[in-house]
Parts: sequence; structure tokens; C-alpha cells
Amino acid sequence: MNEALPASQLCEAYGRRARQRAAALAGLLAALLALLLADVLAGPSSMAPAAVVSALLAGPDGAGRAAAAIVWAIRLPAALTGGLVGVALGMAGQQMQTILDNPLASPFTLGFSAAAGFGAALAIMFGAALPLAGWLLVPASAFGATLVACLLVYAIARLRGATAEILVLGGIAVLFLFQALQSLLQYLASPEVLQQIVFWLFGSLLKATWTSAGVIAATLCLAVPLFLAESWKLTALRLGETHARSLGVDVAALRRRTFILVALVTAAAVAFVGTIGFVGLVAPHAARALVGEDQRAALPAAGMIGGAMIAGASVLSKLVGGGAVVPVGIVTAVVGVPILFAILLCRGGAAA
Amino acid sequence: MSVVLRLAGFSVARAAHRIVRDLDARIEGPGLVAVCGPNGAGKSTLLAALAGHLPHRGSALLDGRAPESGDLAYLPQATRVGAGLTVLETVLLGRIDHLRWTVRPGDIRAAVEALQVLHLAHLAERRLDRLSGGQQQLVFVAQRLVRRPRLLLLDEPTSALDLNRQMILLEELQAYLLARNAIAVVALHDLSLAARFAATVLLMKAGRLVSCGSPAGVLTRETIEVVYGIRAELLTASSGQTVVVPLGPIRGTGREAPA
Repeated sequence: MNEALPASQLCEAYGRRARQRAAALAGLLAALLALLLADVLAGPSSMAPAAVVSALLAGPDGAGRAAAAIVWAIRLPAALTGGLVGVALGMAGQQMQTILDNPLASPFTLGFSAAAGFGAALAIMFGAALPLAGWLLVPASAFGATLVACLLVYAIARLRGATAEILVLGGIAVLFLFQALQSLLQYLASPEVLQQIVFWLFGSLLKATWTSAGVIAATLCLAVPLFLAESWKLTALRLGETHARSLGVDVAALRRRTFILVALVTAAAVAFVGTIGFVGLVAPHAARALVGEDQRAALPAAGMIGGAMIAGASVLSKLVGGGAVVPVGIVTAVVGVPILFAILLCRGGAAA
Repeated sequence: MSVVLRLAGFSVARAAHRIVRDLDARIEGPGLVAVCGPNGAGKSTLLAALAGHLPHRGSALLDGRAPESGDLAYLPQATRVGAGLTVLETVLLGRIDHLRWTVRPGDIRAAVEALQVLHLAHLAERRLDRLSGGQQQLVFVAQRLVRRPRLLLLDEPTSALDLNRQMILLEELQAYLLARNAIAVVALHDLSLAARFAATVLLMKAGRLVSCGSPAGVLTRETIEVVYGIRAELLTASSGQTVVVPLGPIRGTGREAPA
């Protein structure tokens, strides 16, 4: 034992670690912004990158009408929505894995995506009867169904205590319920409607608009400060429920508050673009491998990695598809698997 | 003035079973209070209830007042923790009530000092999930000490420790208690350790207090026989310490043999 280690040296080591974390976060932010730019530059219409940049700089009412329309009305909202969805899903996954103390948890574990899919399918099938535009009705219905799923699990947790076990079991019950309802609608739907439903479930940024980007951004602006304000409590919860409680954290209340916010964020993220899986599972693991488990760093890192994953997948989907754009939800899952494998392999090597 | 812990009619019920029954004791500190007794005697329940994690009846007063959460530090029985936080980050969480967004140098220094006290400074940068069970147990004691409690509640803190670390922990704990005029209520299975380090021993059986007082007064052949159902011999080592030597279970008395 080298007890001679002076205290000042250890304090410095802590400061060094904090600076490394800050540098990692800055790097992630740069990567996210670069990928978003690449996403705007790439696209099925053969616009030269220089033309895209000049259209970007010229603003939405700039000179070239066609260029302005492509960049400002199609590519920019799609890229921003994709990035924001990734941020939302990454952060939601991080919070889920923390409050459920379960590395398998993601916003989809608790049936949120199944509920959103059911809500969307419901609106696609029966929405025509209502005097509301489809672009508004489908996301609203998906959003509402997600909140219903959340309230069901929340009610169970309220009655039986918000333990991780009850939240997970309640969530899985809700997941199966909404999956069954969704299958029922698909079974009943006519072929044309079925095709629309399936396309929605793929998860695609083609549905993105400025409205979707705005709603997701607004939800994040509400939730992220509340998440960050509880960073220390959530970090303490990583030690397990008994230790967190012994340190004076009201674990059940913390779980319930976080759960509601996660539901809101997830609902906003999936309502507009459909089911984009895997980001919420992979991003938190990548974030923790990169910056550790201090939630002040892990939460923003998970968000930025999530955003970068979707922006990267979107670029890739435009490149591999040739003329056609492969739905980003499919690409994300395919790209996410090697990332998760890489994290697992690195972690195994370090532990040995 | 020395610190006093007073229990009056302290009872804890869990699902209609009374696990701890009508404890009355006046414990004068500072010092270590060993809670001893066979499995199922109610030691863990007593500690959890004193920590406010279980509802109880009766009262437990520290210097005449109900202890506030800032006075208390409770360490439950050791379980494996899989978090990837560093040891220093973990101990820092002990000051969770004081932590701001930017960690102040004073908080880090307090955490480092707590690590140094328990000879853990060399582990500060290691990840918690890469430590042995005993090392984790000591790290969590350091995390509780950094809270500067006046009433420590430790549930078998020596269960995973080797002999060297048992001595380090109990000696440093004693020094802390004397320096800060504090009391530590510690569940202990090892009666020799209790005899050596405790100022007061609470001997429990089936939720009741059998005996409370100085180790020499409480740990006798007769009480050990009655409480644990074993024959035991008390020896005095050449250093003057009392050692409890278990000889064998007493059979045929209808008493359940301790596991």
C-alpha cells in the first residue's frame, strides 16, 4: 500500500478526470454537428455541396427557389428532427437504465414504442373520419397513446411501490397489450392502410417537418434541466437502491418523476418519425464507456451519441439507397448492433 | 458533554410480526455499540429502523432529540455493487447534500481524507466494480464517514474483510467516534471483536434485549449459552484481551441450533 499518496495529488487527479470528460463532451458535440451538416449535404437530389451551403447561407427566402425549398423545407427539418430524436432517445435510455437499474432498459422496454405505434395505427385507420389533417392527427394520437401507456405503468407503481421490478413487469405487460392491439388493427386493416401503418412503424425522417423539430426541441428544453438538476441523486442511484436511500435520496419519488419525464420525451421523439429502435439502448452504454457514470456527463453524452447515431444512419441511408432513401429506423438498428458488440468486447477486455 | 443514545419501548413490526420488541436502553458514548445475537435476532431490523428505513414504535433519541438525517449514516449489509464509478466519485457521493453542479475543492478534500483514514487512498482512481467485496465494503464505510455523522449504523461492516482490514476499520472507527463525540451501533457476529472494540454490547435474542452493558458484564459463559445455544469458554489472551472460544452446540434442550 502506498499510503504516501498526498491528498493534493488525488484532488488533481479528480480535476484532470473532469477536464477529460469535458473534452470528450466537446468532441461529441463537434461530431454531432458535423454529422448533421453531412446529413443536410447528402440527399437524393443531385445538389452540389457548395450549392447546399450557399442555399443554407441565403436563408429560406434566398435567391434560388428550388434550392431554398430543398434545403430549408425538406433537408434541414429532417436533419434537425433526426438529431433531436436521437438526443431524446439517448437521454431517455440513459434515465431508464438508471432508474430501473437494468442495462437492458430502453424507452421501448416499457411499451412506449408499442403504444405509439398503436396510436399511430389507430389514427391512420380511423383518422379519415375526423376533420383533422393527418400530419397532425397521427403524431397527436401516437403521443397520446404513449402517455396512456405511461400512466398505466405509473398507476401500478403508485399502488404497489415504485420498485424497479414493478416498473419493468408493469411495462412489459403494457408492451404486450399494445403490441396485441397493434396487431389487431393491422389484421383488420385494408391492404392500402396496412402499408401506411407498416411504413410508419419503420421509422423514417421523411415525415419530419419544422413542427416536429420544434415540438421535440420544446420537450427537451423542459425535461433536460429537470434531469440535470437531479444528476447527483441519479448518480447515487447507480450504487443501487439501498445505498441511494441511505444517502437520503427518496428513491421512489425520484423514479416516478424521472419516469414521467422519460415518457414525455419518448412520446415526442417517436410520435413524429415512428419507431427508431436501438438508439435508446446503445447510446447510454457508449456514453458510460466514454465518460463514466457521473450523470452530469453521462446524460449529455448519451444524448449527443444518440443524435450522432441517427444523423450518421441518415447519411448512410441516403448513400446506400442510391435514389431511394432507406427508412432510417432500419439503418439505425443495423448500425447499432456492431457498436454494441464493440462496447461489449472492449468492456470484457478491460475487466479481464 | 458526552453523547447519549436512549431507546424507550423501541419496537419494529414487519407484516404483523414483531421483529424487535420493546427495547429499552441508555447508551452513553462516545464509542462503539456492538449488537450481537444469533441469526434472526432482529439486529438488521433494529439498525434499519433506527435509520428510519422501517416504521417503528417507541422512541430513539440522540441527546434527547430524534436524530435528523444529517446526524445519521446507515450502512446496510454488504451486497455487490456493479456501478462503474471511481472510488473517489463514490465517496464524494457521501456529501450529496452539499454537492453543487461544480464540485468544490473542499468536497473533494473531505472525500480524499475519508479514504486516507481507512488506508484506501491508493484505490481512489479505481473503478468500484473492479474491487473485491471487502474493498467495496470499506469504500462504503468511508462514504458514510464523509457525512460526519453523530450516529453511525453499520450492519456487519466486517463481514467481507480480512483480519488486517477488520483491525484497521474498527480502530479507525473508534478513533473517529472519540474525536467527534459520536456513537456507532454495529451489528457484529464475532464476539471476540465485540469484546475488544465495543464500549457497550447489546445482546439480542428473538427480538428482545437479553443484556446490555460493558463487554465484560454482558459476554459471560452463561449469557452466551442462553443466547446462542453453545458451550463457550472465555479466555484472557496474554495481551489482556478477552477471547470467546465456541466449543460446541448444546443439544437436546429443544433450542434451535444456530446456523
